[in-house]
Amino acid sequence: MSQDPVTLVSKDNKEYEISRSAAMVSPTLKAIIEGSFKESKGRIELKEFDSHILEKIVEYLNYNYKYSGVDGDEDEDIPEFEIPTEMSLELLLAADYLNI
Amino acid sequence: MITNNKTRISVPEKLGLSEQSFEQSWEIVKHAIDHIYSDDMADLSFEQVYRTIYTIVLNRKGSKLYDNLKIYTMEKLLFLRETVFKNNAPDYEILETMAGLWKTLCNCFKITGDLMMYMDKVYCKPNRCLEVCDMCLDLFRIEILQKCSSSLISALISDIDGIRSSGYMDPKHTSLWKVLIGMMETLHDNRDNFFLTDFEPVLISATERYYNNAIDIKMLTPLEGLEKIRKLKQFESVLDSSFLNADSHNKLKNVLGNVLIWGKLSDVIEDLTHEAMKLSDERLLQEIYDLSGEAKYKTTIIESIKSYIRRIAKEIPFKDGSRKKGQNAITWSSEILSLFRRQRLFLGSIKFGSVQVNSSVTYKFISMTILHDVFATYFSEEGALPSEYISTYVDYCMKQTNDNDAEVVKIKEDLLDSTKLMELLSEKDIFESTYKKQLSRRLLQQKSILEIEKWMVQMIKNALGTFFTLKLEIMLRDISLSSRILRAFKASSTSSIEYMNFVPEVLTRTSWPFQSTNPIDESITLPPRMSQILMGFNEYYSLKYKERILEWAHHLSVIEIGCQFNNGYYEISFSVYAGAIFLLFENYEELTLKEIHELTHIPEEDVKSLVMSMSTVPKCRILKRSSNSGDTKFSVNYFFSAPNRKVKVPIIAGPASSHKSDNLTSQSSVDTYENENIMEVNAAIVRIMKTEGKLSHHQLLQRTTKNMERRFHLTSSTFKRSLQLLLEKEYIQRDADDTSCYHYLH
Repeated sequence: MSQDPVTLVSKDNKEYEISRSAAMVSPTLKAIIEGSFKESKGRIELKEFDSHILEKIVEYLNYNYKYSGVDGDEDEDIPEFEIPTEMSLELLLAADYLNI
Repeated sequence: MITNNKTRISVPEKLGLSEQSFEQSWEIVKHAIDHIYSDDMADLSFEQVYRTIYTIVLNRKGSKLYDNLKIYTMEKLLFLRETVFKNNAPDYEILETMAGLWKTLCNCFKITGDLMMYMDKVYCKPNRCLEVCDMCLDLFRIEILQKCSSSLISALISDIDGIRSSGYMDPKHTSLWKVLIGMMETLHDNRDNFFLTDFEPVLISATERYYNNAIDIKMLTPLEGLEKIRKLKQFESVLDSSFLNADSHNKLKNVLGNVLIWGKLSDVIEDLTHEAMKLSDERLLQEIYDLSGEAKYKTTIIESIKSYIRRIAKEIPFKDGSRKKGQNAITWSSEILSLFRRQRLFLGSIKFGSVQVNSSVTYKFISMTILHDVFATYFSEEGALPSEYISTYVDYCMKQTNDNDAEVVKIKEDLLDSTKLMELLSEKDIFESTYKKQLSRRLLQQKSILEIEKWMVQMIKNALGTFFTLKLEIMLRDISLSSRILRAFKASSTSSIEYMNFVPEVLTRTSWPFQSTNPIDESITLPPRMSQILMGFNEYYSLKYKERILEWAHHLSVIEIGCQFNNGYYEISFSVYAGAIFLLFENYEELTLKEIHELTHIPEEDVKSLVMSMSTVPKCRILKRSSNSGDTKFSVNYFFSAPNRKVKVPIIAGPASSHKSDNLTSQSSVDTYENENIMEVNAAIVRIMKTEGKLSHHQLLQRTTKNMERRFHLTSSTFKRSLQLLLEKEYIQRDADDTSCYHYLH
């Protein structure tokens, strides 16, 4: 399997690039990437989500990927993940969808 | 104050395709599944299907989807089963098909599972049904594996058997088996996985059957059989490890052990063990021993080892009663000893592990226990002879000792090993009494080195205990003491004894194996020079030890006289009597038997036999006889010549029996021995009866036997004689009512 980054496409056709390993934080995305479906070429269309939501998702995936290896005890270096209140419900749904 | 100015949370618009009906959605899913099973997913959008399922589940249609999926998958599998499997296909093809199908379907199930991930999470877990992937596997088990199980299993078994008999391990086959067994281990019903429930028992019994038929041990020699079994075992082990997990592998190993070792090898195990022993091949024996971990098996081998050694021991000729008894004893003992050593060395190199050996004793090493058992049994079967023989052997070794250090070391080694055998003798009393006699002779005639005798007694003490060596030690002590007394005596004595070398040996009577002093010793007249010395010593001794009585036992003594004959100077050893007679000729030219008797007071019969021995035995004819006018006269034979400077005058046993006590003949030794035994038994019975008061015949016999066990084997005749003696002397009494009961009389 290639290590190319994958591209996530939002409802309004905005594209977000994310490294393959970061995307695989989400089991859903992982299954998509690893399967031999249309999306396995590296372009995953997520027409559910607005671009600002998808942007946040990508941000979170990177955040999670970056810090998941770090032990929880060394908390000083793990910054809070900022979630704007007005997006919370939409993100909740997205998280549910992506299984994260 | 509460701010009204809340942040507005944007409500997401309804997700996805909620307007679609369930049927429409199901069609999408079905379509996707079709593509998955035909391995054609390139045009399928995972996201779309996922979203569809997501929506269905979100709309609470999860259970319906689940059921539909189940039915649809079942249909798929049914179709596959009927199309893929051909009837009457060769075994290997069935296996290949199955393995192929399994691989493909596993992949399909996984992808389906991925697609249904959301359902797994939201529907299956809370509702406690199997996740989609597992559900599919379960269906596979029900629909395919169980339906085909019999043909699959038989195909697999016959394929395995085929490889076994070909003797060549085909990696193609084994890897296939591995896949299939992996499959079986994955699929499980609510009890256990399919492999454990259905396949393993069949495999085990098939293996058993196969190997049962694989080899006919009776057609092969033991060694060939072993070789064959070794090969089969090795092959099977490699084969098994290539496709089975460790657990099943072990199970099969056990089965193999049972079939090959128990079923086959046990028929020839004794021969095989004997063969290994014969070849002295410790590696082979070790291998045979390690073939099975079963205690029963190991015990069989140990018994075989025993029977082998016993047989070898029995083969050592045991010429009893023939003339050269001493020689026989030495040959026999040295052979037994070398057998013992050889086996000790041989068995010592075998690792026996920890096995319970059926034996009365336990050594730290099993090899010693084995040897102990074998030799103890052997000795007890042979009765008294081994005891006498070993003692004679020690006697022989002792007489061989000289000042050569290297030889002494070797002889010591022999002796040390012979003490090991002494431990095993059943008739230790015979050994003790024989040893005592031989020791006394060695000591009195100075045939051995005192230091080594002391060392040997110490060794015997280590082996048999203080009890046995008490008297032996006293004997040795007497000898050392005597030489000290002699030195003191010489220093104190002023008399002119320079030209005579006098060595008194003061012995404690009770410890030496002589029954009595010879009555004639009191009366005989010794040549004046000798009696002078004796008197001097007597005086000296009684001064030193006032309360002791010194008696001379001439019949045990030896006298050595240097004499100038015409042909040279000879040193002649005599018994004291003969010496006394010979010395008479210093003063007399010629003497008749009668005159000799009158001069010495030696009984006439003895005089006759002594003179005969000096005048007739060819090697030492120092007297000559001349008969004129019917009166036989004797005089010194000045023409005497001999090859060696030292000459020994043997004692011809005449009709008179004054020398019997130090004659070592088997008959008398057994007699004395039996008398001693009876004394021992008497004492034991009295001891037992004293504490018990009343005992039945049987009980008493048992107790006494046990009591005497350590020393000798109690025969019933000895027991009866002893009992009779005690009844006569009224130590014990028969019960008036029950004649089989005895009372102790106070």
